[in-house]
Amino acid sequence: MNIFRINIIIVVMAALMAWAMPGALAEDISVEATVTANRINLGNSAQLVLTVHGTQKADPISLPAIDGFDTRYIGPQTQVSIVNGNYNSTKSFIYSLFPNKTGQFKIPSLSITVDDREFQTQPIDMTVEDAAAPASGASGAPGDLASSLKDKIMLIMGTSKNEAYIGEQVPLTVKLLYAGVTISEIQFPSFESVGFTKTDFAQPQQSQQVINGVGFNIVDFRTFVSPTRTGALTLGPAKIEANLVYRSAQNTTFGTGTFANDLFDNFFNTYEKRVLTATSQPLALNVLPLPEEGKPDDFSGAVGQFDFTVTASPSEVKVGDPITLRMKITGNGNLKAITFPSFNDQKFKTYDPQIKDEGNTKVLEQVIIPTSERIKEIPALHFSYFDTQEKKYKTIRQGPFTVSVKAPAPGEEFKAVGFEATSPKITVKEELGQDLVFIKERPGILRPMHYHVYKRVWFWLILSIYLVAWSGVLVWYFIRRRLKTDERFARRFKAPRQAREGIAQAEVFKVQGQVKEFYGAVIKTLKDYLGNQLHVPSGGMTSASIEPLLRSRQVDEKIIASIRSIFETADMVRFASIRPEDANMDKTFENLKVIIDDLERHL
Amino acid sequence: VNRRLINSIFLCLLVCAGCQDARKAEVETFNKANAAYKQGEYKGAIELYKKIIAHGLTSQQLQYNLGNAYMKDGQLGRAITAYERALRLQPRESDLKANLAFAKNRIESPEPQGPKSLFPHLQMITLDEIVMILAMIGVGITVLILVGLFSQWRFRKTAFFITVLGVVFAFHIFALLAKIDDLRDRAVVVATGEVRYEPEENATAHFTAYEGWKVRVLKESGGWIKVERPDGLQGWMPSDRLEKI
Repeated sequence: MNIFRINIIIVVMAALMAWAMPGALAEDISVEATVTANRINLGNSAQLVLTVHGTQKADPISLPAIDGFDTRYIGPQTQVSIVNGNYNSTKSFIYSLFPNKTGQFKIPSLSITVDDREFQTQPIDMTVEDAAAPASGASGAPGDLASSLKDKIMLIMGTSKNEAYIGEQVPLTVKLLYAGVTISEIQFPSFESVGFTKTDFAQPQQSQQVINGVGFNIVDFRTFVSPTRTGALTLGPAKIEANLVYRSAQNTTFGTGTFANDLFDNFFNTYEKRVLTATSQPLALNVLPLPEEGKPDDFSGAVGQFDFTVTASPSEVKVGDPITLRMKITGNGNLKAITFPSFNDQKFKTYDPQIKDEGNTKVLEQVIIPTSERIKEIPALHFSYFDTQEKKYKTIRQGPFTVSVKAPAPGEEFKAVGFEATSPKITVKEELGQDLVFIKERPGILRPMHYHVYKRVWFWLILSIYLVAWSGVLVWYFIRRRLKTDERFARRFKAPRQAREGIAQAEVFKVQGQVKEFYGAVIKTLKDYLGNQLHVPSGGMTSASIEPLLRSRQVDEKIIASIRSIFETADMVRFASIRPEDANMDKTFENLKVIIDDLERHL
Repeated sequence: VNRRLINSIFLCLLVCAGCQDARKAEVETFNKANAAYKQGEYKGAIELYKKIIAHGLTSQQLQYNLGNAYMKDGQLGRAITAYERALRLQPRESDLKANLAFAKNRIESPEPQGPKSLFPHLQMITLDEIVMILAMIGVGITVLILVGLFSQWRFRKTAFFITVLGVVFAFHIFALLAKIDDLRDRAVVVATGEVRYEPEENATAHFTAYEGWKVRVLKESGGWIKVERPDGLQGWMPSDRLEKI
């Protein structure tokens, strides 16, 4: 296809569009509400479609509360078509309808504003039937008890007792019951347990049970809780999250007969999941303190019903041979929190015990080593606990255990070095309570909101002072080093200071009227200054030798003339013994100051 | 001149005394709030703690107690906000960390996790502490330069020490930037609700933000705030469902 043909097609299409557009502009706006199915089962979902014909400029509305349904906005759908030159555009807003009880319901007239005009939809009748009783008739028998999701999904939390002792292990069950709905991905329950320690839930057991003629599926979660404080405590409410599976009902061309429902509905329908949170009632538990009366001294917090046995083997050993002491506690109670009686006997060397949890049994194994052949028995051990059935303390005594300890043979003296390495310490995970740590009694240092060090002036001031000082030290260091290594720099550096000293000296001689000394000081100051600045020897310096150097540095001729004049006057006074007028001394002095000042700026 | 000096000193003392009186009043309010808390009047305690904050003052202990009062009053999101504010002032306080963990355990749905931080130690220090560490390292480098010059160290020796300190300095500069990024534009969800694709009530829901989640504020527009979860999901939610830290 060549470019010419393509251009023709584009032009024709544009003409068609131009012809169609007036039709579009003239198109009437209308609104309608439809549902994908008017009759659905509890457990199925339907879709409500709110369609605006004739424009794309429409926004979704918030659905009012609809009796019998929970709703969720899914999203918009747009459609544009040109049929026989007619331009049609529609915009649909799709909502999911999740029935929450059975019965006859009505989706009310919905109001939507499009292009500043308000439109109303027609009400829609809906029937929700109980999926568990499909044979109840198409129209639903009048007087039938309506069922709701709350009747079909229940969460029950329970204990075998409503009163317990602190530290007692209380069995707790959380049962999820559901009937006539499909539930998937059931999470383990969670519940508030402030004031309790709790163990992890065991794998749930599933069963079925008929309650009031309805077959319920039951998921049974079991755990134990143990109160850590006394008083009226509350457990729960328990919560379980699961996905409630709705079948999205569609109107099919196969009617609503059994055949259609069973075969084609399964084929055409899709499934939709909705997160469901089932919540139980909270559970009150009155927690009693343990009685003080009759509490044994060695009681360490064991609450429940227990048996305590101890064995020691072998019973015939030599000094230094190990004896294994095995303590075993079995029974119902807070085994994890129980501590074994400690074996402390100075006649035995003891090693760290190994403790194992095995269901309702807790075992301690400890190696003890007799240190003397005079030992005849291992002392008795006591275990005390509070019996929650008989409501009193009990103590089980085991031992003493007779042992025969013989003296070691020569060369087999008692050694136990390195034994620890073969006895790894096993620690038992401690169950701790959880609650808020109490408030603070003092407010601490109250600072302005958003206070930060780097926003404070003092911080930057201190930093700036430090940086200035640091820079000063650095500059001083480098000047000092150059003075030592660079003679030209050192002479130039000291020239002004020496000149100031010379001028001061000359001024003293001038005031005292010492003419020769004055001119001597003047000529020395000038020679030293020029010598330092120009880095030449100042000893044999004359006006004639210095002038070319000054001219090469572009020094003003007036200054050079002044320097020459000072040299001549000084020579006359010093060598021809001519005494100049005082006015000339003043003039020479001023000239000297002007020369040095000027050369400071030019050299 | 002396009289002016005396007057100035007297004025300064008067201002300082005024400041002390103001702080004393705040301490009294704090004690009253604590008393209300102990009597179980948590709403009253919250109002009193907030009164001190309204005067522009704060402290780790104040925010911690406010967080406790919110927890007792059942306002999980605001409690976590107060604990997070306290954490910015003193991140190593064990009671505070315990209560924040306790509060976060009560969030209805676990907070989404983002990528792990390159600077995990940042959680243990405040912004001010990083600034002070940087200042100290800076001073250390400059002092080292002077010591090297005056002690006539070999250039390699001075360069080695300065390079080591320079690397530590650069690391803390990055840490400072990361900390600033970690603290900036953070907010806590105070009411569970849908986060939507557009800033409109009828827009399609993207995900649910649960009370107590910490999110980053990206943009604000007409009563709506665009937020980002730690795992990168973004959306709009009404501004009254968030409280900035």
